[in-house]
Amino acid sequence: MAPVDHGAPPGGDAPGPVAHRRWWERNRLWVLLLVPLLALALASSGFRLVRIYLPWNYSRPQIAHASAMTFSQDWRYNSRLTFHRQATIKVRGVTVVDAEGGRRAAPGATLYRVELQLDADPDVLMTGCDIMLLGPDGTRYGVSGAKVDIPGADQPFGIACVPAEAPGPTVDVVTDEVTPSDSPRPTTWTIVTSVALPSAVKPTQVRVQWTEPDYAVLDVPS
Amino acid sequence: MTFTREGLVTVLLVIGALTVGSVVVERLPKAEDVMDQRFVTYGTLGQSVGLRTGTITVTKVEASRTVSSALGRAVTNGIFVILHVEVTAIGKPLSLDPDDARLVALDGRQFGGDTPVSTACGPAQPGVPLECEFTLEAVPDALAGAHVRLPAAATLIVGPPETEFADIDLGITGAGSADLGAQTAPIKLRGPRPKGA
Repeated sequence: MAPVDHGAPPGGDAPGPVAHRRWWERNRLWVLLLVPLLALALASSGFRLVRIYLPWNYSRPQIAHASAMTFSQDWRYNSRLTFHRQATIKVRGVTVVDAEGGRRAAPGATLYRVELQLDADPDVLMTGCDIMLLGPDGTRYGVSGAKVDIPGADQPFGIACVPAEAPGPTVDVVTDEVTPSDSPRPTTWTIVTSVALPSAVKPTQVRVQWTEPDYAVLDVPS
Repeated sequence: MTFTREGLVTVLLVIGALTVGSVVVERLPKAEDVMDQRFVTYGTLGQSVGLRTGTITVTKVEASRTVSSALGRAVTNGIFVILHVEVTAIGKPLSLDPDDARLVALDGRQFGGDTPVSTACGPAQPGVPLECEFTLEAVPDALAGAHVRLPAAATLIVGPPETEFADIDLGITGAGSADLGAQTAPIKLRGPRPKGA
């Protein structure tokens, strides 16, 4: 509490300097300190969002506004191994087909063949990608849904993100060590997969992702 | 020590601020209450229930003591309740796990969990309905008036548990439960498939 100036003349027009100071003047410093303290409280309450939710979800888009782009991300494996992934992604085509990979579209859906060209150094880890088509409203369509197996045809399990015979380096899930492939991966290769969309929806963008939180968004070539 | 009017006002202001703060804190929901809060949308057999991830419809209820699927065959001394479920995703592909479903009896008993014939229901592509069967093992006396509680998405191994549910009244009457409980014909599950396929 501020001291009271008992020496000030009672009822005078010019009381002493201390008594005349108003509450705001005497506590200005503490009130101003409230601003950074509130900011600190807000920042600390956002810890889960910043350190857990955003890094563990696909929250950081890299949007090409074209059908080709250079995708770049730094990522960790088990918080111990750190990597840099840089690749040029080019959408070579998104075309309507009757069947692809031993599957056809379900009733009410249309099947699109998606062909991507990737360029990356042979020592970059490129396994484990996921590819989606996006509709005009941003709805994501995955490679597994709305398809029907063609009896007798071979159906691949998942997307072949890298050449099967030369996948490039992979991480051994038991030893957490990077294992090189027997043959060096070519610097340029092609990924082919398919996505079934409701027939009323035309795809506008292609989404490609590996490790959270970065993902690439490219336009479907016209 | 001298008491002044200003000092008294300051003390009253501090006490008032602490009281207001205490009341506000008491009235605000606790963090654990928010984390555990459940968002339940109620529906009935044949009615589409809209959730944040899509719409879920239980179209038909069957029962048997013997159920088979591509994974194998299961027999129970109780009763297998087979729910025919239609799922339409919104925004992104949706997968549901039949093991997460719970049959809730009128007296609160819950039935469900893993069965030897359970298969994942998904992924459902947005806008393209997917048909699945959910198999829940229960006892016949739990069927009359039972509800089924279906999570909005499959429960992940890591992360918080799902908090949004569809709670669907299966419309099983006392006579209906006796009929279902007496069913012995084996049921073969088709597994997830797009509607009409």
